[in-house]
Amino acid sequence: MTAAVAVDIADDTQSLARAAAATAVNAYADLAIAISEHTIELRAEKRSAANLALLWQIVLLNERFVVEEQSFRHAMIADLVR
Amino acid sequence: MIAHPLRLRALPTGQALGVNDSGRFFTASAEAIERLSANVIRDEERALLTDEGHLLDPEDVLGHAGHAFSVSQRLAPAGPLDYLILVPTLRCNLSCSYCQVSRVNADRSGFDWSEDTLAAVFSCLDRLDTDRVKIEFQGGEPTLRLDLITAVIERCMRFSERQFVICTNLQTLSDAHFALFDRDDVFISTSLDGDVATHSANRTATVDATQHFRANLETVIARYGPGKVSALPTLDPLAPPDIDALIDSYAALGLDSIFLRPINYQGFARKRHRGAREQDDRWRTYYERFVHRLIERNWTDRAHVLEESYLSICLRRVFQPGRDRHVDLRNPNPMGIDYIVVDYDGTVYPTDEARMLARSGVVDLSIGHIATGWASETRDLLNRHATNQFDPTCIRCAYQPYCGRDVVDDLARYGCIDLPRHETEFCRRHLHLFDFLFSLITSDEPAVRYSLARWLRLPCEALPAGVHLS
Repeated sequence: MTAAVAVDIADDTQSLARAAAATAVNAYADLAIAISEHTIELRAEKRSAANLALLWQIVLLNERFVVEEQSFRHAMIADLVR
Repeated sequence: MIAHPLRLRALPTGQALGVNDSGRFFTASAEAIERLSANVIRDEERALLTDEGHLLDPEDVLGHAGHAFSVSQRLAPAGPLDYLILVPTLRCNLSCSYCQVSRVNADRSGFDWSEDTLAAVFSCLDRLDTDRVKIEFQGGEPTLRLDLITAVIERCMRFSERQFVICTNLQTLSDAHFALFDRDDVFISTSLDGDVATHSANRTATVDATQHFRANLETVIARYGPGKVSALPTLDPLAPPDIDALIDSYAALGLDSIFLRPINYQGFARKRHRGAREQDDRWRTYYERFVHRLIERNWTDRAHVLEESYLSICLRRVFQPGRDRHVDLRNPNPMGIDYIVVDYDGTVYPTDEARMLARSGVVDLSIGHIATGWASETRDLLNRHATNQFDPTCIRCAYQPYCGRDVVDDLARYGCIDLPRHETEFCRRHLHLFDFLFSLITSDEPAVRYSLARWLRLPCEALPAGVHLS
């Protein structure tokens, strides 16, 4: 009985952790989009359509580099501060 | 698998700036960005980006180690405590409208170090595990207690390298002042807000008092030369002075560095200069005009090189990794480790701004006491957030390797540290500064490149051109 309760608690804890992680990922993605949109909003003024398109391209390419290299960066910083 | 440890930013010129994690950078045309997006860059471009460390094969052990070393050069190490800001008295003989520390009148008692505090400062100095020390005497007006300053300096004779900066309003000069200033290891820092009218309005209240200060400033410069004396203005961003008048007031005294510093949103300034909380486009435009005027003047008169001090600090952070002792701009920005502030009552603060916040009654960020130590929970809590390394906005920012983190500034302006970074004045200010700086760095103008080389103290005539993908 005790073991079953312990397993239930462990499952609950894991599902809570999973839910929290999923929420964090969503929140992070939302924040990333907000930051990109904010960057565009801040910098769009007085730009031509072509220049605005370039701005979007740079922001999106930047986002790609940031996301793709995130684990590489974290591993490197972790190595350096160890 | 090739890593792109890069961040990009669109420049106002229609080009893109690419900066890798170690701060090396290149510019790229719209067409080159198109190719980079589609993964179809030319072989010679790939070779160039690889040579410059922008593309990295993690299997290349030497390349990986080189990149790791370069990134490590961008992480400020906190050495032993060797920089102390000491406040022997909070009393002052002036009452400036934007005084940041809510000073008290010169005739008040109970606002100077006690005997016990002085003894604790001595004990701290005796325990320092370093051969060099820098001590800045702040106030109040620290020269109201020349005896305490002298006692501290004498206690520091064991250090082979030592520098003492006395931050004074220079309203008073006596033989006792000269006896101290005559020392080779003593430097003088003062405030000069521009012409007589501006300085009087901001600080002294009367033209007579300002002229007295100007005479004293001229006296110390004549006696010691401008190398021993530095001055900086505090400017009202809503009513900044005429640019040439401000430059002239410094240049006439032989002072080459001008720190264009808007009123700090601290102390009395929080009430009397509410507009100082955020700077707007008017200030930024003024700032750019000011720097361009310096560039023009440097080009016209090569005998004198004038600089805006903070822009030079930012410029050196771009090109010279390891410039980490300007504690307002470094990353990580550890507090209470390699420098501390000791207030008139012995309280230890992590920064002078933290002292101001406590004096203003905003938030108590003291981390301990000089007699009992400062390795406190508050210090550790502040230091857990003292990096821009993993901030969701900063990790997207091309300027992250050059920029810093100032938790205390966020607390001062917003009362919290968890605002999205791009909504803070610190971020807006530095984005503007680095955007402006890179507009200069990528400029073809000989006058601009000349000034940049001078500000970087380079032996060449002009800043060499950087890497560009056309």
